[in-house]
Amino acid sequence: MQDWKQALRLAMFELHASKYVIFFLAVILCLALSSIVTGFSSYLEKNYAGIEFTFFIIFSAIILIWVKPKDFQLNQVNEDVMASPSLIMLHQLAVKKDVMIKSRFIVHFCYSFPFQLLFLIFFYALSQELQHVLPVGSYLAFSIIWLSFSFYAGYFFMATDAGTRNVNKITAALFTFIFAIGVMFLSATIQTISGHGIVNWTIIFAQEWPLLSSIISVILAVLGFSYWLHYMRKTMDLVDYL
Amino acid sequence: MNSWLEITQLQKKIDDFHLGPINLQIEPGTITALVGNNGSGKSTLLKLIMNLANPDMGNIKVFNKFVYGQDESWKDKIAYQAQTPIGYNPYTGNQLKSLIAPLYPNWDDTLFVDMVHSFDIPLHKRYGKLSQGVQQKLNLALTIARNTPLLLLDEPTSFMDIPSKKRLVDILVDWMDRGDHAIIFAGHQAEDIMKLADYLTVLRNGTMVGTFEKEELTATYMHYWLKEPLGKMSIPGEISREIKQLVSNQPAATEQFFHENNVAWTDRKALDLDEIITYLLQEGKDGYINDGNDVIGS
Repeated sequence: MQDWKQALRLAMFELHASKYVIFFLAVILCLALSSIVTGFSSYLEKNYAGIEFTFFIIFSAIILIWVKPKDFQLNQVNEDVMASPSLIMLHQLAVKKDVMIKSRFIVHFCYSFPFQLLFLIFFYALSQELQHVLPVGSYLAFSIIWLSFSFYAGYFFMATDAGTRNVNKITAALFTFIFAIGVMFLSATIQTISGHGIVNWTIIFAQEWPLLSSIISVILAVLGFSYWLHYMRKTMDLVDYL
Repeated sequence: MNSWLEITQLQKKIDDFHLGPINLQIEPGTITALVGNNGSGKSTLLKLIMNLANPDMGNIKVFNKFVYGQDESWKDKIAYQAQTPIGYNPYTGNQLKSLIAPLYPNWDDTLFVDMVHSFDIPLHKRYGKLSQGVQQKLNLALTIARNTPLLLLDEPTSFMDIPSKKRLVDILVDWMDRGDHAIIFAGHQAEDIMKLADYLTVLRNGTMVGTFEKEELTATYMHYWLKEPLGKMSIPGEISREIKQLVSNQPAATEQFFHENNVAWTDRKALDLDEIITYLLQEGKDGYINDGNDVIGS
């Protein structure tokens, strides 16, 4: 508990100094909601792979890479490695590695979770089609499925704080483009093969097996999150912050 | 006496650069200067001590704990000032102090305030907006005030003006007097701060030339002015020669030779520390071989 307290104290400095991120996240939230609410009935009627990309963007928290102020974005440590400047700073102080990792988790959580939760709340409040398709209980399961996804997939971006391969801006843009194409390709393939898009499938899971899909999602979230913490610790032990 | 820092057979390869093997022990009450040419591995050595990188071979123990072990309690006892701190830019001096001070149980707020006033550091400005010199002063105030037994400073005065350098020397002298402390700093030979050092650990292109007691070293190097040119005779201790001048690092043997061979000299003078370091950093002119057992403060 002492570690968590210290991690929270340290995370608060970054959260306070980068509070303007909230403004950008609010803008993105509005844009995402306006596009998804207006397109949702069409998505359900025509059953095409259309809104998956927005869901991936929001629940993978990839957006945080761009909206964070430059001082908090991954920074070049040496020719091969990029890492979070905040983590490097803490690494040079009397802070245990576990506390550093917890601190990174708190920062990531504070920026991603409320944003994702608000998205889910407003999506339900603003979309009558969604309310019609999913009663509150099922929507809770649907929310758990996607919030869990944010843990087992999205915390990959937190884990990169400990150090990742150094890439230039062109390569980073290329990776982003490949990620976008990959998500769209995956969505289209699943839609073509199975007859439903990924979001539609999660709606079906939430309708048909709300409890089971929630339990499986939470288990995946716990396993995935534990893996990313382990991955981060291992990376910190291996990387040379020279 | 127990060493506070013990480095044994440490080696690290980074691309074409090879650091080590380094053997070093630091004991309480000592100040050690890491001296070397650019790229000789001084900063890398300090980062290895801080467990910011993994050695390829060898061990580092701080207060009898391996720095890469599970027990990280050693971190409370060591303060490290990086040459270029990463992650400080978005914070003001006040915020950095609030972040750092609670991490160190012996934080000396009086010293911090004194340094802030003495160096005229604006604590309300963002670190990234300060000049390099002021950044360095703030960084030093944030590091020395941690009041840990062991203090690591990487090029602490590289951007500082002369009065500030002198003030820092005074601060460090006072700080050393106020308890059991030890300092290791990486620096250049011409710096004022070098006067503080009890020991010099000399690195040449990653290789450890040796660790030398400063007083002993300054008494060892002698510059002679001769009456006549020396010709081609080989002189014991000779490390440098011009027509009628000679520098020796074994003055007793050199003077014995002069006496036996009737070589007359008109004057002699001990070399300045920076001249000695220059000789030590010139490959093949030091006359010392690292025996791999450098103990400081014993």
